[in-house]
Amino acid sequence: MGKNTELLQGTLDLLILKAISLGPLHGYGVLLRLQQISNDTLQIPQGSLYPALYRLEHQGLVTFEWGESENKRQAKYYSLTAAGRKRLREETNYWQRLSGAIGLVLDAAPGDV
Amino acid sequence: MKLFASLKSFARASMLRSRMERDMDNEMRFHLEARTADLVRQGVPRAVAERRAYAEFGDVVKWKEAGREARGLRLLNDLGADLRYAVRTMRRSPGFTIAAVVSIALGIGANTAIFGLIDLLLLRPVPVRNPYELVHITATGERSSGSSGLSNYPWFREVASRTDLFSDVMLVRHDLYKVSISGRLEQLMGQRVTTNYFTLLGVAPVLGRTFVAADQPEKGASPVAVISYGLWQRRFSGNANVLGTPITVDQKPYTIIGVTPPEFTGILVGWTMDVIMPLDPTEFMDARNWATMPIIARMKPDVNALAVRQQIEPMLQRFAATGISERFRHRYLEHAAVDSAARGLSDLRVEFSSPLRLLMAAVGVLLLITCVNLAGLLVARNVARQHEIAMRVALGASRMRVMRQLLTESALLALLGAVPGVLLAIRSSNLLVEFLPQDFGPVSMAVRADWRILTFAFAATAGTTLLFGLIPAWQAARATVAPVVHRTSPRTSTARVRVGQALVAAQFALSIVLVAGAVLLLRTLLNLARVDTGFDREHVLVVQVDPQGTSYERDRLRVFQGEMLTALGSLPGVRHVSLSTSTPFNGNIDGKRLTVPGVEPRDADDTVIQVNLVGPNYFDVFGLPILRGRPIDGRDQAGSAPVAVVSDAFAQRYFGGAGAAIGRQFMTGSGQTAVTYEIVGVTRDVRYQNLRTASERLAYLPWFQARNVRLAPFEFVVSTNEDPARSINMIRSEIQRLRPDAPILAVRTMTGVINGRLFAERLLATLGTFFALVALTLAAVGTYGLLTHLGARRVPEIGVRLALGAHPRQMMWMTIRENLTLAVTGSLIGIAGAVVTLRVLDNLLFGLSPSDAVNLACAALILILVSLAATIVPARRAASVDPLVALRYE
Repeated sequence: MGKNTELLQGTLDLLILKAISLGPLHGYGVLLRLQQISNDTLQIPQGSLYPALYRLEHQGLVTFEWGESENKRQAKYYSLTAAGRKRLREETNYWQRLSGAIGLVLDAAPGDV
Repeated sequence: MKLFASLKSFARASMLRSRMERDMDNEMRFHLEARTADLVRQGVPRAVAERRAYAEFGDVVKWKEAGREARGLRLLNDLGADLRYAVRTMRRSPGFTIAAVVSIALGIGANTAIFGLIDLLLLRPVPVRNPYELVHITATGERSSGSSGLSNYPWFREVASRTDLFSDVMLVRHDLYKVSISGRLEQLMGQRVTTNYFTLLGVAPVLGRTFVAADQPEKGASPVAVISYGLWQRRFSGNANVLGTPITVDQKPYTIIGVTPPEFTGILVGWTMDVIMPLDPTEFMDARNWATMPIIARMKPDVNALAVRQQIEPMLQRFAATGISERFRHRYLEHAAVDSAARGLSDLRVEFSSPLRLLMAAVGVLLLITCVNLAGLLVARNVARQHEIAMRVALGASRMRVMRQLLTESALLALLGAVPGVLLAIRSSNLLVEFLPQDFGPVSMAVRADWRILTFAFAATAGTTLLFGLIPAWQAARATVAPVVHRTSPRTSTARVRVGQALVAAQFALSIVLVAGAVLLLRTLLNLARVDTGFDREHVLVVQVDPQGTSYERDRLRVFQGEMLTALGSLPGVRHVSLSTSTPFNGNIDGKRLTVPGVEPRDADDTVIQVNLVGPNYFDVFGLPILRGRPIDGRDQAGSAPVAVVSDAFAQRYFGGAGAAIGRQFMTGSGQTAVTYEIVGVTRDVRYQNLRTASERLAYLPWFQARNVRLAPFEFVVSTNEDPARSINMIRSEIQRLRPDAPILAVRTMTGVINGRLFAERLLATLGTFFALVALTLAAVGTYGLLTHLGARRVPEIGVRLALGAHPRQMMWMTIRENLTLAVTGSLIGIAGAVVTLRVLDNLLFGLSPSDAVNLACAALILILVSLAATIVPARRAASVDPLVALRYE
């Protein structure tokens, strides 16, 4: 657990969009997929997924339908809308440029300046 | 798209509240169970797994609340709670609630009512296609402006030829017509128009057809008419077989071919055009003859009114350059004026726009007073609620949250007041419309609760809420937690008392302006009503007759006049009967060219004279003394030498005195129509058309000496022994008995006629007084509210003072003195404000100056008295404090 990384403010929405973009998921599924693809390094307060999902739904970025889960229970499956896909692209671009830039800055060796 | 999604999610969330809650619940439970199951699968014992799942999830209640907030539901939840709480608070203090609701109802109601009228008369576009393309083209000069501009057919053709500027141009002539439908005669507003009228306006008939070019009378078409929806309903019960029905208009036959839609009233705001007929251009062919006929043009989409004016001006100059006298050109055709006709044309607008604007300002001030008053009351009341608010803050409510709750209460109060206010407003502004003067014809317009009015009312309510709610809410939200913690009695900070006092003083200052304005208008009305008109108006009845367009012509009219003079003269209680063409204040003015032999005219005014054709006994009817010579009497018949009685002002101007005028001569008209009159008498000056201006020079000429029987409106004038109003019915039935078809327009008392002339003044004075009374009531309520709350706060202090030996009466005086200081301060500020703002009344006042010292002092005195009256109860309460109880309270 010591290697766990706390989420940066505002990144949860992006991560949820990414997770859902790989296929419709219910809330718990989002959590599992995020943990899986981040190799359990991301520490997400589990309950906070839901306000975030409702916020994305409110913004028209995700939509949902009721479906049956692996254990034969009714669950709410979220998927991306067109607006959601567009937002994900924009945010991903932005994030890559930002992290690239920050990486450059942090990697700078004394001789580079 | 995004907005739509948000709205959809919000709507679903708020409408399917329970469903959404259930879904949220299910979803989170599913999460917890799935997590538990996963942990169990990893070998964790079930009981431990369940606890871990919950721990990892976090506070379920908190996440649910956050989930609701994400959907915008939190606000809704809070709003519901705030509203419920507000209702409970209101129920606890019904006195305050009723005072607040009633004053808001009055404030919003008065504003909406006046706005309704302003909208109707000044703002609303006429119901035609693209009204903003319409312009009204007039010629203006020294004597004509606005809606009274002149035109004629050749000039119209000239304008219409500018197809580069206009897509269409029409000519409209408004008039009152005597319309006979199935034998019953009535007087209706109507217009003659060029046949492109309906196509230009873009108005389609609800029944039948409108005009086509072939309907033009000069081409020998059979006369046709389109009637209004109102007339169709009223006289034909909306029956479709009205088409083809013959009617007569001013004794000429017409056939009805169509009916206009119900909302269409024509372009003359305030009147509905009941009959519309094609204009006969041949009547207006003479380029030297000009008549009051608006030219209305529809501009091409890319043309504006300014450009049109620049083009029309030189055209008019060229057109008027030949065949028109210099003087006429100067008076009527100096410039071209091009005004937007989007809002229609209106004589009422000319007459009432400044009174209405003034009333709007007054009700605006009234609403401001209402707001200040409520703000004061709320500040005072929040003092009492200090403990409660402090408790909320102590329990963790944010200041924003507290403010939101207090503002919700204010909004609810405002809404409760606004609803009855608006209902009241619609009724009362229609009542006002009914009282508008009907000089030109029956005014037909109605204020309806449409989106324009409702938007205004809503904006006014929202503004009011913020204005009266914000200061108290902000004040209260700054509450400290100390009182709750220290369990002390609620104390009010001095700052808060100051705010309360400042609000009451401000309310006084604003009220002074309203009260002083109202008193000025009232005194003006009284001054005008008391103006010495020079004649006896208390005992005179006026019978208005209009023989034009009836069968009363020539000999028949002359016989009728003789008959009526005898018949009315022999009625009981009638002293004298006569007739005249320009009875004072009846609107008919008859000017003639004047030449006085041996007197050089000094200016243009010296070459015209107002004349009044009067029958024998005219001077007796009005109690006008003959200063010199003799009155006009039975001697002055057709064939006798023309004589005249002139007013004192006339005699003074041309002959230097009444005595010198007797036996002198003057001439009216010129050339063939010139008549020389010998002055046989001089009578006292009278006010003739306007109560505000001094008497004009007048010449009274004998009725029965006139060469032709005039076919113009005239009046029988009757003087009575008693109150003339009581004789109206008797006179009406006598006329009915003699000549049932007599063209009588109205029988009115002279006082009534003069009062009708004071309509705008009376409207302003009455409404102004009403608004001032409301302001005074609010001032009393505000003072009382403040003192009551301050009094409660001072109970301990007064207790100590009394215990130390102060006399109860001193406590009473202390309260009164403090309040008096407040009232006087407010009044002084108000007087300063009134001196500045009331200058706008200058043109409306009569015999008074806006900064009249007596008047301002009077207004201040009234307010201070009201404030004193409001002090009595709280002051006596202060005096009756029991020191023991008060000290125990501490």
